[in-house]
Amino acid sequence: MSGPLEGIRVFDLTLAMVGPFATAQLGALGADVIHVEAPEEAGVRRTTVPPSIKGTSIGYINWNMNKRGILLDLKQESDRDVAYRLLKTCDVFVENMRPGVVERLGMGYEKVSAINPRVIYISSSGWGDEGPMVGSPAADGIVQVFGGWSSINGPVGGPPEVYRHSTQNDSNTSNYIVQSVLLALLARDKNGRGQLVKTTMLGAIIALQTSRIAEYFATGKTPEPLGSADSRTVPHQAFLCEDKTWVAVGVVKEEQWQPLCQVLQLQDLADDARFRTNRDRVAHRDELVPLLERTFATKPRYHWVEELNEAGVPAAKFMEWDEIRFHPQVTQNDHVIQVPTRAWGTVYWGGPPYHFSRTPARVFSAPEPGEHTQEVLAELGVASTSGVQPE
Amino acid sequence: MELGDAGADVIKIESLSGDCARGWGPPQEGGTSSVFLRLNRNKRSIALDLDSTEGIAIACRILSSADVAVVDVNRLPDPSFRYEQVAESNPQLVYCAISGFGDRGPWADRPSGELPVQLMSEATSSLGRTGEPPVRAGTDIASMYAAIHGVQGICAALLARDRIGSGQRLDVSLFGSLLAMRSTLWVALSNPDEWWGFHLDSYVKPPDHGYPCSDGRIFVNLAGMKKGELDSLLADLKMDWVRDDRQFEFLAQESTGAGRYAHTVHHLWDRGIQQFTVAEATNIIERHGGLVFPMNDFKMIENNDQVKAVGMIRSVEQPGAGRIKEMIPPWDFADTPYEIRLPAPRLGEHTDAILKELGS
Amino acid sequence: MSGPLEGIRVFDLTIYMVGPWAAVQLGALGADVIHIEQPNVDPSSLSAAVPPRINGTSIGYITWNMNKRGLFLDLKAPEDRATAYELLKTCDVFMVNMRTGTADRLGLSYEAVSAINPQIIYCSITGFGESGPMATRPGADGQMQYFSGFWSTNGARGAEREIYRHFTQMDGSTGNYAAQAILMGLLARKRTGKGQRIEVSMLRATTALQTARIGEYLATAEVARPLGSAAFATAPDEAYLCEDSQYVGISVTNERDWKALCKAILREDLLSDPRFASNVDRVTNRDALTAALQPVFRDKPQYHWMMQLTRARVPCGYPMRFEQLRYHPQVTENGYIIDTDTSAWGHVYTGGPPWHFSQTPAQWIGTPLPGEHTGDILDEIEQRRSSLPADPEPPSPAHPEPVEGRAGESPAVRRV
Repeated sequence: MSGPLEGIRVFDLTLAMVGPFATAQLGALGADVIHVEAPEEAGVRRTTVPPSIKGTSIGYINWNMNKRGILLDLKQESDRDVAYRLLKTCDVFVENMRPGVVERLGMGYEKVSAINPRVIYISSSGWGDEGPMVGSPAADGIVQVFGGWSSINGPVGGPPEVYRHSTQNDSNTSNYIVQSVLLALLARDKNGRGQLVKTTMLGAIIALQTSRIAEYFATGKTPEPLGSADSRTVPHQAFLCEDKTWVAVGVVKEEQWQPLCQVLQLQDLADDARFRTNRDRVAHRDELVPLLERTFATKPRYHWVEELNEAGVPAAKFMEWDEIRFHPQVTQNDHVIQVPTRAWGTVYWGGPPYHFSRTPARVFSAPEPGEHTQEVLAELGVASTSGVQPE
Repeated sequence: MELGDAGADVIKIESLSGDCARGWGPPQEGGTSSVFLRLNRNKRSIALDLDSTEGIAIACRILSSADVAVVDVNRLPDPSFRYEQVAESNPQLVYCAISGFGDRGPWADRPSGELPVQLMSEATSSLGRTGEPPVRAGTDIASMYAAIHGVQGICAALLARDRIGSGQRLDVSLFGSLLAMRSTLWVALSNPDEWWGFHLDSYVKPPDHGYPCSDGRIFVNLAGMKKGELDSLLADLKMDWVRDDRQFEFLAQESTGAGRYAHTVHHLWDRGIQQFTVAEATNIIERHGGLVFPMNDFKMIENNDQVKAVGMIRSVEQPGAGRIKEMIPPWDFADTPYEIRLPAPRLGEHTDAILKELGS
Repeated sequence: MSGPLEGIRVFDLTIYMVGPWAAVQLGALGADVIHIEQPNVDPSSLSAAVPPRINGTSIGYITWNMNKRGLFLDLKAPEDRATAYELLKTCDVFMVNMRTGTADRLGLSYEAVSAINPQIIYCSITGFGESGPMATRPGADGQMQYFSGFWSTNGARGAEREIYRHFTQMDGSTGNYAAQAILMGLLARKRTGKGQRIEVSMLRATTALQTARIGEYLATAEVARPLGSAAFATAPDEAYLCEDSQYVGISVTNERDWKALCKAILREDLLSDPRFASNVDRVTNRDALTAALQPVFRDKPQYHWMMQLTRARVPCGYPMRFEQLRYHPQVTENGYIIDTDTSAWGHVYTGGPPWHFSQTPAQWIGTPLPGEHTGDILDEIEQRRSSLPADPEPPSPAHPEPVEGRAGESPAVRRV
C-alpha cells in the first residue's frame, strides 16, 4: 500500500535544508521526488555542513531522503531540454534559490507554467522578493534573531539566547512548504490549474510564534526570557530534585493544581488565595515558585515523575538521545527509525510524524548524487545528457 | 586461578610477549607485577608464537585435550580458537568465552576494560557526587564478578557434561556480570511503594566517609538504639551544643549509618565523634545500644586478630621475588582441601614440560 | 533444554541476602531450590522490611529469592523437623547462613544432616569464619565493607575515602563464592562419591574479591590512597573531562592499546617520551601523563572520543544510567536486565542470568510468596515416603543413575 501522494511527481530544484527537507517529506508521503543537481554543486554540497559520513555531509544525507537523484547542468541547453521534458511529467516544482537565479537557469515560473500549466510552483526564500531585505543572505541563525525567536529564549532575566540546534527554522519553513504543496494540489483538483506559491523563512518563523505575538499585542509588553518557565501558565517549568536531576512539571489545566499540592504535601498552598487560579499564580509567580523549588529538592526525580503522573499532573524527565533512541515509546511508534543506505551505513532519521491507516508513508535512503540519472533519462526516452556523468 | 586453587591443572597459554598483566604496576616483585603474581598461582605457563602456524597448532592441541577452555573472545589471536573450530576436535570441552559487553548485541565486539564497564553499567553512580568527576570502585568489581560467574558456569557445565553427553560453550561478560550484581537496584526501580529507601538512597546521597575519630574512622548505626537513649548518648559524647542546631530534630530519626537522614546531620555527629578515639567512641556508643564498626585499611586488616587467627595471609616462595605474601582462597572444603601447589609461573616456564606431555 | 543443574535439589535455609543470593544462582542454573521460611511469616516483615518495598514487601526479599520454591517449616516443631529430614534425603545441597550454633540447635548440624544423606554438600556461610576471636559475630554487608577495606580504595583524588553506597556487593560477592564452592563440591562428589562440609566466610570472600588491591598492599606494606577514576596498576586508565562537560573513561592496559591511543588522539609524540615508555613508567609518572592528556580530551566532545577510540579499539566508556540501559539493545539482546513476573509484586526489572550456555540455558523465575509451594512439596515427600521401601542405609553412590524429574512430579532420589 503506497503513500497518499502516490502518483504525484516533484521536480526538486532545491538546496541546503529548507527546500530539500520539504521535498523529502513529500517523498515520505509517496511522491516520486526527483532531486535535480548541477554536477559541480553536487560535489561541493557533499562536503559542507559537518559532520560527514564517508565524506558526505550528514545534512545532505538527512535532507534528501526518499528521493531519486539526477545530475543536470541547466546552463547547458541540451540539459535544459531534458529538464523541460521532465517538467511535463511533473505535478510540483520546488526551488529555494536566491532571487533571479532560477530565471537565469530558464526555470522561472513564467517558463515552467508555460510548459506545464498544471505545475504547482513553490518558490521559497529567506525574506521574500520585495522589501529592503530582498537578496540579503538568510540562514537559520539570522532569521532566528531577526524574527524574534531568540528574544524569548534564555535564562530568567536574559540575555536572549540563540537556539543552538540551528535547523528548527529551516525545518519549520519546510513544513509550511509541504503544507502549501498539499493545499495547492487540493485547489488544482477543483480548478484544474497549477499556481505560484511563495513561502519565506521570515513568514514561517513569525507564524510559528503566533501565540507569543498575540501576548505582545494584548499586553504591549515585550516577552522576556523565563528560563524553563512558561509565560502563561504557572507552575510550568523545570525543578531540581534531590538527586540533582531535573523534572519538568506543567500545571496546564486548572484541575491539576490541587493534585500537585497533594503530591507535594503542601496543603496550605492549595488553600492560599494568592495561588487559587492560574491567573493568580501567574501574578504571584515570584512568591510561589521558590516554595515549590524547596519541596522538589527533597525527593529524587523518580518519585516526582511517578507520583505526579499518577495524580494526573504532567511531569517528565529530560531525556537524552541515548535514552530516546531505544525507548519503546519511540521505537514502537517509529518516531526514530533506522534507514539502511548503501554508501553511508545505517542512519537514524526522524520517522514520519503521521501514521496513515490505508496509505502509509515510506522512507528510503537518500540517493548518491546522480544515482538515478540514467534511469530517469530512460523513462523520459532520452539517450543521454550533455556528457554529464554521476561522480 | 580459582580453578587452579581447586586443584585443576591450569595451562596458561601466553604469547611470546606474555600476559600484559605481567607489566602492570608498580608495585612489582622480582620484575613482575604484584597483581599478576596474585592472580596466577597454581598455573603452568607455555609461551607460544601465536602469529605462527606452528604456535597456533600447538595451542589447538592443548585445547583438544582439555576439559575446560577460558578464552578472551574480544582478543582471539586466531580464528582457529573459536568455539566451533575447537569443539569439532573436542566435543567434551567446556568453553568459557569472556567478553567485555556480551556475546550478542551492537557492542559484542567492542573492546572493554574495567573502567569503561564500571561507567557503562551505572556502577560509578554509587560513588562520588553528581557534577564532579566520576569515582571508580577501587576493587576491580567488573572483572572479578565476571571471573566468579565464569567459574560458576564452568563448574555447572562440567556437572551437566555427563548428563547431556557433551561440553558446550558458555559466555559471560564484565558488563553482564556487573549489571547482574546490581539487580537489587533494578527491582527497587520497579514501581516501589515509595521512591526512597536504603537502596534508592545510593542515587541521592553524597559521598560518605564514615565518622572520624581522633585515631581512625568508624561507621555507626543507632537504628537498634532504644528510644530515650539519645539524650544520654549525646551527653556522653559531649554534644550538648547540638540542641541549638536547627537540624537537631533529625537526630532522633534514622540519623546515622545508612539511615535516611544520615547525610543531613553527618556533620553534627562528626563534630561530636572526632573528640574521641576509636576505642572510646566505640565504648560510649555501644553502651547506649548502638553498633560501631571499625573502618579498616589493608594494614589494619593484616594486623587484625581475626585475620591472623584464620590464617588468611601466608608467605610463599616466589622464584625471582623471594618470599611474598598472599591470601588463601575464600572457601574451606572439609574433605578436599585446596592446595597452593605452584607459584605464579615465569613466562613460558613450563613450555618444555607441556610440549613433552603433548608428545611433540 | 533445561539448565546445567537440572536434577540437583537445594535445601535453602538462608536469610537476608548472602545465603539467598547464592541459592538464586543455583536456581538460575536449573537446580530445584527450596527456600524455607517460618510458617505464616508476614511478607511485610521479610528482609527486615528494608525499604523500598513493593506492595509492602522489601525489594530485598523479592530480589534475593528468585528462581526458588517456597516451603513453610517450623524447625523447632518435631513434625516439621521430621519433614525436613525426609526432604533432605532427596537433596544434594544444604545451605545455611545463620548465627553460629543455630543450625545445630535446630537439629541440622553437619553431623545430623550427613547422617541422613552422606552425599549432601553442606555449605555454611559465616561472617568471620568458624575460628578466632570473632567467630561468633554475624556479618552484614555494610559491616563487611568497612572491615574488609573495600571502602578504603574508593575516593576522589585528594579527598577522604568513601563508602560504596550500594550496600549489596559484599553480600552478593560472598553468595557468589559460596555458589562456586557448592558447585566445586558437587564436582568433587563425582570423584569421591560423597558429600562434604564447606565453609565460606564473608571475611574471606570480600577480601578475595580485592585480591589485586590487597596484593599491592602486601607487596609494599603501604596503604595506597585512591585516585578518583584512575586505576592503581595501569595508566592511562581514568576518566577525562571533554569539551561538552561530559566524561569519557579510557583503559589502556597494554602497549598495543597505548600506541593505538596516541595515534587516535593525534599525539604520537607521546610514544617517544621516555616518561611514558612502559606501563610502569606511565604509572610512575601518572601525574605528568594526566597533565598531558587532559587538555587533549577537553578539546572535543565525549561523542568524538567514544567514536575515535572505539574505532582504534582502545577501551572506552562513559557514565550511563538505568534509563539509558534498560532499553539499550546491548542489554536487551543479552538479557542482562529483564522483566520478570512475580507472585505478589507484579512485574519487576531484575538482572538477568549472567551466563549464556549453548546447550543448557539458565532460567530466571519470579519470586514466590513464602511457603507458596508447601502443598506441592509435602505431597512430593509423602509420595516418596510411601513408594520407597523403608531402608536405613543410604543408597549406594557407586553407580549413580541420574533420574530426570521436575518439581511437582513424582520425585526420585536425585543424583549427579
